[in-house]
Amino acid sequence: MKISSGKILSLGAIAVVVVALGVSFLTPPASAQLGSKELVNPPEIRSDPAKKRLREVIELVNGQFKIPGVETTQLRQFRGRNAKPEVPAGTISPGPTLRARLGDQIQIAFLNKTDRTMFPFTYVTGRDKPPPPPFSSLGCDKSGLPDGNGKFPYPAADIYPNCFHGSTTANIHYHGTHTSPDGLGDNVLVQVLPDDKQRDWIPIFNKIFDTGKIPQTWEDLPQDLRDAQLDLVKKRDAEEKAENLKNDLPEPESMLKANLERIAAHQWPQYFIGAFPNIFDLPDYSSGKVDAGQAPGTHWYHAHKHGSTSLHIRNGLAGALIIESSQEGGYDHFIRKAFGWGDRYEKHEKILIFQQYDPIQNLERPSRRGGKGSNQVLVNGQLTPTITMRPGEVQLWRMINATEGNAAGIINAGNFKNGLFQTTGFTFVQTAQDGVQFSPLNYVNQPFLNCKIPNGAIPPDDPVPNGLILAAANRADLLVKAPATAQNARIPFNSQGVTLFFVKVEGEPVADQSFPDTWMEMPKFLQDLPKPGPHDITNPGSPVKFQWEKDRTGTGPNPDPPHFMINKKQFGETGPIVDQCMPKDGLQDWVLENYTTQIAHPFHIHINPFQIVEMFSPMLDKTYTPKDNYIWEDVIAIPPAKIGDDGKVIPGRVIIRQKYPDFTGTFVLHCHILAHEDRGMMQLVRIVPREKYPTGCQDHPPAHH
Amino acid sequence: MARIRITRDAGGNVSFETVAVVPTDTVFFINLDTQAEHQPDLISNKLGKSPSPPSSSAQPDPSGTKSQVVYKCLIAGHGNESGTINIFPQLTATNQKLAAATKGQPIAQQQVVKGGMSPYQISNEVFEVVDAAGNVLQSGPGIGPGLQLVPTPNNKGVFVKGTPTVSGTYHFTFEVDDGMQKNLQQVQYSMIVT
Repeated sequence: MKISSGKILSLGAIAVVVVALGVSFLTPPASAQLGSKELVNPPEIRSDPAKKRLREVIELVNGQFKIPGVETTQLRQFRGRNAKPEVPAGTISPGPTLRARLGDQIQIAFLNKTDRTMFPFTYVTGRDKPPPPPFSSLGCDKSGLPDGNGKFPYPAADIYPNCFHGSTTANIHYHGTHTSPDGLGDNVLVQVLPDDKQRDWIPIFNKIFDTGKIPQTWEDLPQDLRDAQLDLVKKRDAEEKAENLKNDLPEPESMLKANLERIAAHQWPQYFIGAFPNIFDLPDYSSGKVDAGQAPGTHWYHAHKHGSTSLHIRNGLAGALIIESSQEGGYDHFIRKAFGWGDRYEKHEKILIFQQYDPIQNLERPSRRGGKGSNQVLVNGQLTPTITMRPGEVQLWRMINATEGNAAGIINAGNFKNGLFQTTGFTFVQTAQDGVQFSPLNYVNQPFLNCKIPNGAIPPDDPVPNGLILAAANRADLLVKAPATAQNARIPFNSQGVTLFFVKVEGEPVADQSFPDTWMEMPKFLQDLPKPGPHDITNPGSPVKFQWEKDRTGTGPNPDPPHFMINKKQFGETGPIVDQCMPKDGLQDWVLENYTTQIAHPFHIHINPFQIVEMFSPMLDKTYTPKDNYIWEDVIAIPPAKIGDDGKVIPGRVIIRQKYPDFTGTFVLHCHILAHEDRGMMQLVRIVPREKYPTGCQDHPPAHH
Repeated sequence: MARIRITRDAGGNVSFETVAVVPTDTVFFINLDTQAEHQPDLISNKLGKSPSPPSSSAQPDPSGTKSQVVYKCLIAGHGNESGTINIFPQLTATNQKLAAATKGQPIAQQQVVKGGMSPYQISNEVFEVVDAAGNVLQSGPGIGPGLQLVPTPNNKGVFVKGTPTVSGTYHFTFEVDDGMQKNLQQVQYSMIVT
């Protein structure tokens, strides 16, 4: 397949070339694609503009759900209690879309109502006695038949906690938010255990929510909530201990003991039973109260329990978090005004959440390969749905790669590969990446669509050298304009030759819709970060090296799968140690390096986005060094390494620039191929007050994962 | 994937479920018997008392040749406890390009879905008949004028039969869920009728 044609998209005086492929789907059969249903945006709940808050109950439930084209099977799902429309029983869907505005407060009652008897072989705590590190494989999920030495095909050589485990436990990560990582904020170190017969927590949570004040410490929570939770943890401890003794297993770690130790140290406990309230603000830069605001845009949320992030994402435990601008001139106000869409996007907006649904991990299959569900990508839980557009119509597509990132043949090594935006007759312009709007220059130059960025794992002989690639967890907003005339057939939008969805162009043409010639200026806090100077504290943890054990660079078992590491260490391997510590308001450049071949590891860090200052792909022998207008992202696929002629590893490299305003706290960075994260490719990160740097870096880091 | 739940009723009788799977499926044993541990001989590791560790998943027939596997409990005193895993071929589409037919003439019955397990539930049938230029002559629910789908009651798949009544190319699709709850949908079939 060769690049056969180009299309000129005029944006003012500057031409943008969008590469087009000459492929067979240009004249699809008239019948394509019978049975394809209209794409449905996920259920949604909006913030209350009068109260400036978004309040919702998100329930984690399990049951029999149909994966289109695969089977009806036991899955876990997020459901919004008040989001509309309701998802029909037995139908898979992303979680409810949460739509808020800058300045709103997010108030989510998260209820884990999983029936744990349906998933009984998955522990949340280690089983070694006494608790190390290092742990053994005790505590890891096991599958398959043990060999003569009692070794199971899974976990093979994996070691707790860096193995698949604890899938009945969950939490919610609000990916892309600039908020507190501690307490009731974007806290992924909290572990909410299942309780399918739980009490009604909503009244007690609402007592917190109604005040609008975010509890800063455990002691700020209502006494009845604290008492009830500690009592439940104590009871769960006793149950787990009894079960273990009944089955001749070592006594598990005590969750109550761990909680009480944390509380005594004036830290937040990590274990909750059945329910957890998330409450945090979406800081509005225009308020003048913050040093950096929340970027308005397409963000998302997903479960983030270490050991089960990948299985949870395969269950579809993710949803969109749309944060809109708060005033004229802001991102959403500008776009809607440009097209006369009024105060809401309504039918002009499509949310496309790409997911793989599979109830089982690849490594837990006898073949260690993905099943049918792993190898098909659904959009909003639908198999190859259809988007309908009128001729000449413009829509805003918000695209979220919520896959695990390793579907062979469709998403290679964490990336959506090219194809989607090369469909003849349509024109596209990207307006944001990872929920951060483009600068005017990037809007005009379109660096992703015009193949300027060596993003991800692109082999040298790939027919298309680059283009818009969504690594796992990347988002992109695009304005899409339909062809000027109606089309007989649905047009397939493909990735790697596989159709993800169709577009049907029919009805009366829409006149005079064209992309804006000029683009909005960046808010001040999203303008280029300055280069760190001699007075800025450098990061001793840089470069951040994504790697396997020594002398291992290629993929595949040997005979066991490799250990996933950052800087020669798996997550928590040496105990509760903060791996990366930064001073509040610090400004730093980090080097990210990938020492594995064939796989681009998508680097993700919570709480603050970063700017891409430089990228180098050794496979392409291509370097991206923009002079300015650095693109903001919160996930960047680090290009894979290459073995040089001398046998030495030439790592893929990215340089990011980031600042740490507004919030202190403890969180994580990790590979967003979530099976890699579960299996150790993660670091504990902390921002401390400047006066406590570095003395406060190792002050009671969370020990339990 | 299938789950096999081992339960004990009020009379003390232990029940081992019967399930149906395809050869590549993994089965999970869930021991809900709080009084006893079990060790189905499909897996050599012990299922402890409820909820039982450690591993309980296995592929019923790694050889891929059997149509049925009977599993028993190996623990003394549980020897009579057994269950059955029936193994069926994968549910797959076949004959997407059906043999050409003549308007008004009955067609030879042709298979469109093979494998899987009865009963086959058909839904979301939709068709188009187009002329040589691709213009849609007729469209709607069903698989086309004069044609019907015939799900078999004996695990033999789904067939198409009937007498086409319109000249053109029939395009149709449908959704099928079988007795194992496997699903096929959006498979495109076509038949030229002259």
